[in-house]
Amino acid sequence: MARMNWTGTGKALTALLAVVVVVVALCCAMMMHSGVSARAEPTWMEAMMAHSARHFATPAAVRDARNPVLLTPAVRAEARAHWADHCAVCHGNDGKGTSGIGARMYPKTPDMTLASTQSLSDGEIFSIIENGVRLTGMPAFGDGTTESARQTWPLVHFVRHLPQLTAEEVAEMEKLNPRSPEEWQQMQEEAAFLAGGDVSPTPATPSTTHSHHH
Amino acid sequence: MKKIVAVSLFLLLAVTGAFAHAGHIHTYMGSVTMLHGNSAFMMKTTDGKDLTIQTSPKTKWMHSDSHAAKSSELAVGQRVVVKMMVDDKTADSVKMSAPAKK
Repeated sequence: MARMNWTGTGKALTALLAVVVVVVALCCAMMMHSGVSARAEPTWMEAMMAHSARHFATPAAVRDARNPVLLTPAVRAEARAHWADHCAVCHGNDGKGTSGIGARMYPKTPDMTLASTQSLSDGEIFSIIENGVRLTGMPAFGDGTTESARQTWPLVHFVRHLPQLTAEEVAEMEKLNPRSPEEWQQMQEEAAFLAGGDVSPTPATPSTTHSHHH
Repeated sequence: MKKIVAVSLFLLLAVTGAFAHAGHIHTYMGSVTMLHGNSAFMMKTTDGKDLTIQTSPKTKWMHSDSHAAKSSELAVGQRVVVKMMVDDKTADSVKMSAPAKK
């Protein structure tokens, strides 16, 4: 009887292994067909698994935490400047992820004005900023200290404000975005051009920045 | 067994890994030569090329001082600086000069 059970278990394990091998082979075939380009979009299953893992990996105490920083105009202004300096390079000033380098990451930076971000709890947004997310482009900006938490909680307020961000705020943030000397030169050329000045017909700046100029 | 583990790990990394690199965002400077409703306009770039620029509701419209503008303010003859989205198909932002004097 015991021998029969073992045989049954062995067959089940063999069948399971066969299924795993087939799935792995299919994945290999898909990967060899499409490569590992970061231009691809994650499949719904990858996205679901990643979101679930992130949710369950956030301790309940952190997930349920409320923002301890009182929202004032000064706090929002500080967070806006912080975002423009540190976050906009990937997420864009408006948080939509279309203008930063995050649009070419895998996975792509999300449109943070949408419910997929806005429905997260304060604690979850805090945890993502503070601890980062593995296997994505999101680094851990915090180090677990009170000081880093003091800088992160105002950003949570700013993330909440993204859907209501005005064009004037975006214009103000553009002045605070970090730029290379080439980018500053390009900005000055654009301003001079719009003011009626002449521009050389060929790109004045080499293509060492993230922008090609025509 | 070792091969299965190795292949599985490789797949996991390949499927979920972050292989990010900087994108190239095209910027075009030139003058508006024709308007096509609310969704496109033509421009001649500073190096003499004629381009059709597609816009979308997500396109940001600005005056030269970076303050908000409306797409309806765009007129033929105006100088513009157009930054494309990373897909290079649609304008991410259009910064326009003051209207050209007639």
